[in-house]
Amino acid sequence: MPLEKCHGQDGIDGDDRLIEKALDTENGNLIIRLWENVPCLVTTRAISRNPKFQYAAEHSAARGWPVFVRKSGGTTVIHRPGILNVSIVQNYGDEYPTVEQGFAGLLVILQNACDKFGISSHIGPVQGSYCDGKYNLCVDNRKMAGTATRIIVKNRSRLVVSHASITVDGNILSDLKRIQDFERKLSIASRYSSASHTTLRAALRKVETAT
Amino acid sequence: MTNITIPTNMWDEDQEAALSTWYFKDGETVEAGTVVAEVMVEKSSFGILAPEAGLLKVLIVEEEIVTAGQVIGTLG
Repeated sequence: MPLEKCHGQDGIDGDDRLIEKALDTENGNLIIRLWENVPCLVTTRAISRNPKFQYAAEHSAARGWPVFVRKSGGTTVIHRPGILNVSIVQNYGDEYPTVEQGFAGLLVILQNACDKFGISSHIGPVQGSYCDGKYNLCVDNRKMAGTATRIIVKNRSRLVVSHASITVDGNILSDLKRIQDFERKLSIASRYSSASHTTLRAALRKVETAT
Repeated sequence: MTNITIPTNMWDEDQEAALSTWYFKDGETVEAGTVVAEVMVEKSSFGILAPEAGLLKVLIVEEEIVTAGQVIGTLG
């Protein structure tokens, strides 16, 4: 599967194009997209309604980190080369899937991939990580990938769009600083720790060292 | 008058949900089957459908906590 190189909002909106494809599939079938974005921050619609949003977004953009808005939940995340985005869409027909089911399809794929590399992963929240949630992909109690889902109704079909941002490599400390600078401008108090995050490269290095 | 209701059995009881967005304003006319609102729970969002056509009456404001089965608006 080719890696799609994206440029800001177009990368985020690519998931909507995936939805159109999924409508043509049989119920239960999956469509997957692998993509990487240029350096940017991606936040939620709720945060974009913050009265200081425009000021904070302009401040971030002036420093080379434009801010884009996604439709799924959570808080602000970072996109850049070295962060691999995986999006899947599954058509559930006329049944509403549960929130748990919405995440499960994606997490099974991610954990199977980890298993193949010999990486022992688990799912759960990680205190001190940015955009924390119950369905993070973790290694050694550190967050390696964040996930979010959207359950949408289109043409009488219930579709789940699931997305993971996997930190493959790069400078986590710098990522946290970018997000915290942006959130500070929004008067959002946040305290993140690089010890709460890890990268795929670090997890692979640990496997190599052990074998 | 028809209620617009949050679906049940979609998330665990220990998870908190919030009405994140109304796609229509109070008093606007909506068509049956249109997504009128969005609910957010545990980094998952989902659309709430209008069960029939009518004039929307908003009962819950954006960002307010909602529970399964709760009436968030009406159509009349």
